Amino acid sequence: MSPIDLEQIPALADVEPVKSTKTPLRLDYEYTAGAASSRFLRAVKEKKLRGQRCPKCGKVYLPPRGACPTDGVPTTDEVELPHTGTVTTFCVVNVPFHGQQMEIPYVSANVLVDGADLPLFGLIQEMPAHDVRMGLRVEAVWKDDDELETSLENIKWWRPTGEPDADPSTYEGQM
Amino acid sequence: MRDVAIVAFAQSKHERRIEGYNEIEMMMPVVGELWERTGLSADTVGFTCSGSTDFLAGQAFSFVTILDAIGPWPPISESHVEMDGAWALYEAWVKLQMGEIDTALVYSYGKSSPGDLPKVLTTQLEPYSVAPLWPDAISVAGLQARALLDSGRATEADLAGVAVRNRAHAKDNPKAQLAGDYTVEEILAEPYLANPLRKHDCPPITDGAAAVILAAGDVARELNDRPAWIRGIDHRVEAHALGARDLTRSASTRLAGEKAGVGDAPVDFAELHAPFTHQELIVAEALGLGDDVTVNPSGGPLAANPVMAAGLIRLGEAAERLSRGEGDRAVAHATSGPCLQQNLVCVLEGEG
Amino acid sequence: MRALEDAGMTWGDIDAVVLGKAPDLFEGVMKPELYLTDALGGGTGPARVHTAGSVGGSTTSSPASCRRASTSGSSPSPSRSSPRARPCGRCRCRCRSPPPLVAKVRAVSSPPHPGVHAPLGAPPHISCLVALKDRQNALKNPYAHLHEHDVTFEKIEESMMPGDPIRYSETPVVGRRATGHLRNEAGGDANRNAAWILGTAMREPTRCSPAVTSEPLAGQQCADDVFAQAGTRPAAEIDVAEITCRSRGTSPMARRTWARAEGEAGSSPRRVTAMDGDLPGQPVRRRALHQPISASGTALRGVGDTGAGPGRRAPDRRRTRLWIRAYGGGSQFFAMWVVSATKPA
Repeated sequence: MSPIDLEQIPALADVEPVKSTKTPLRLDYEYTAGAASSRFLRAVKEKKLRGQRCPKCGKVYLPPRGACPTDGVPTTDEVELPHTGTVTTFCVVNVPFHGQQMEIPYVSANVLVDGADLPLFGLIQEMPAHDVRMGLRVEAVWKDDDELETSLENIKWWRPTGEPDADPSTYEGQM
Repeated sequence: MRDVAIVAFAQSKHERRIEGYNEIEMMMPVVGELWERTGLSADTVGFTCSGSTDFLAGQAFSFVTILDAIGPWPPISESHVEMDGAWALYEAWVKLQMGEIDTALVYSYGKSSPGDLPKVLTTQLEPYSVAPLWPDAISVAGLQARALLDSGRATEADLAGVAVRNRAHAKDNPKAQLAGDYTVEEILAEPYLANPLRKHDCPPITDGAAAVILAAGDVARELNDRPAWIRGIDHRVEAHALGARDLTRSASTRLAGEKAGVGDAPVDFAELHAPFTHQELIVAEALGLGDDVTVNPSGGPLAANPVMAAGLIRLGEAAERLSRGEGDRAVAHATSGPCLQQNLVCVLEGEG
Repeated sequence: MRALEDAGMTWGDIDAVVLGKAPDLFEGVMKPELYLTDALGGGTGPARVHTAGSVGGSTTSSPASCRRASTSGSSPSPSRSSPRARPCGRCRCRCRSPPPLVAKVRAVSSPPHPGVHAPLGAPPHISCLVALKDRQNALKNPYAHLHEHDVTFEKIEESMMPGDPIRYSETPVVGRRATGHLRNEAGGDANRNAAWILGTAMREPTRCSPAVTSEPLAGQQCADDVFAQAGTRPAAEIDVAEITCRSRGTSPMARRTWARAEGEAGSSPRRVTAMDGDLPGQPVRRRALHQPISASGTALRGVGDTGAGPGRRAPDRRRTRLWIRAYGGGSQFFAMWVVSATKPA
């Protein structure tokens, strides 16, 4: 077979390329939270962090999605968790991203809530961004009671508690 | 070729809208049923492959979170195809042919209710000149139905007859979404949805999930007294552009059927993934199935059509029926794309 | 067509097409293989087109499975087709889709990095070193998206951090496509520049694996599996590595996987993946330089590298054995290959 060279085809020569066309694509979805997430979101509206425990391995998941991701069985027991946790890893964000409403720089982090075995994604505020570190102890800052919804946005951000940093062994493998 | 069989099949109860459960919660009991029946687990099964699409979920990498339903720890050998689960089964079958594994889990799920399915399916059309015009899935199928009627090889009454038979078959299928007794006259008296298609010519919109265990050789015999052996499996695709092919014939189904050996021996029954009534006629003709072959004893996709799982369900339904001894040789078919663009054909046998 | 030409084949020689791609929402097209079919084997009649796992390494595993099924005496297909296949990867557009019902935090970031580096004991400037090395290696690759002839360590260090600790210079660019061929001895003159597959493996763990992030168990198991299949000890017999890393920070992690597979206690990252290092990495292509989402082509580039004769695609020396590592998710899914320029016995 001879090689195909599009540049040698006369009909295609000297064509001004169309570099982009706009074809708007809009699809709307209505998600089903599912049984476990519904329980979780209902609790969040009451300013409670309610995880679920796997009956097989004992791990506590926050937020729960209905199944233990390690054992593939339903999480059956509900566990009420405190509003404090540890920063397991973090990132200082210096550029604005689409749809973002935050002032730059800000810190996003994985926060391992005390008693949970899966970190939550959240923002760290009320401290200089460059002071955020792994092991930092933080607590949730909630929206005002009259603004609470069935959403994790109820936690506005996490702020330092002032406690000494957590020992790395307490969050090893939870990054 | 190594002897590989479908040894277990499970599916959810199919519904228009499963509101109480998310995809993980929908999938988990189905896989759990197979673990229960086979004694296998995520740790012991040789390979896992799933089929689904982000466009139903409205979320990129949606298939990753669904792995929670399997519990992949320690890490498992796993893959995913953004195709109907029937193609995931094909990939698992190839792995089994390698001889390195003896068992495989194949699962797929489709939760259509979060989005607008006819519109979502538009996004599988050519994105530059066709999809921007937003033809919906039913209208596209209507083009094909009109072409078939105009060819003189079928009438609107023939289409209605397909609907009547499938809805009647579905009465014996406890997982079916739509079932009941209708007459051709009743259906023909209904208004058109997208001329020449009436509501009964179209599949229901379904939330559902399905899973299959494949096993090779003696392992298959241990797991099932009468495994459904895969004697041939092949898939083919043809041109995408609707104007580039004869919509009244399915060349890809015919070729896949020949490669899979459909015509090598008599067929007792067939499970065809033809979502629209006219498509069942086209597929049956392409496979050379005679009037003596029972088509879609489960009710087929006209009884329940969880997109991305409906093809895998055809293979599972056929296998389960063979394992129950209701026939010795069956054909299962799966399709993908607009107007039967891509087709997979599998020949299953209950003996041996 | 370049891939066909490279293989000395035509569409008529192709039995199956396997397509690797990003998740459909990234493509902006549902099941894009359907409309791409018209560009894949047009004129040869109905073809077998199959989308495989979203990571290129697993895409290519599928036809690789066929090859091995064939050599073990069984035909992979009732059609008795010889298992030659053509994997290819592509990326058209990006799509923003927040996951539903999880932390609706209006922020974007890449939090795992401090968590990866701390346990490895890697120096703070490790990512700059890796980026510099890859940018330099890429100058030898005519297909690389980025050719930074004047790149220096200082320039990378000064580059802005969109998300501290990741600098722009340490992040990937989005590329277009990569194609490659697999074939076996049935392919006529297929020995020409062929890359012989010694092993392929995939591993996927739970999304909240108890393992330390810097040393994922899935990566370890995958490496153990692929090296066992290949019957090779990494340091002794692997000449070159092609490693998918979305940002330079995870390269030490890959190096660590390799070290563990070798049986080392796990040394801190050394300058081993430069062209003159013990394990030259990314001689022709680097994800940081040319990144079709889904890593499609990492493996394929590697295959091209092994198959290339001296001077052809500019590796410094003829490679005999190559380790390819691709991953997806948050260092979650792994796919690995070992290929060889010499036909296995």
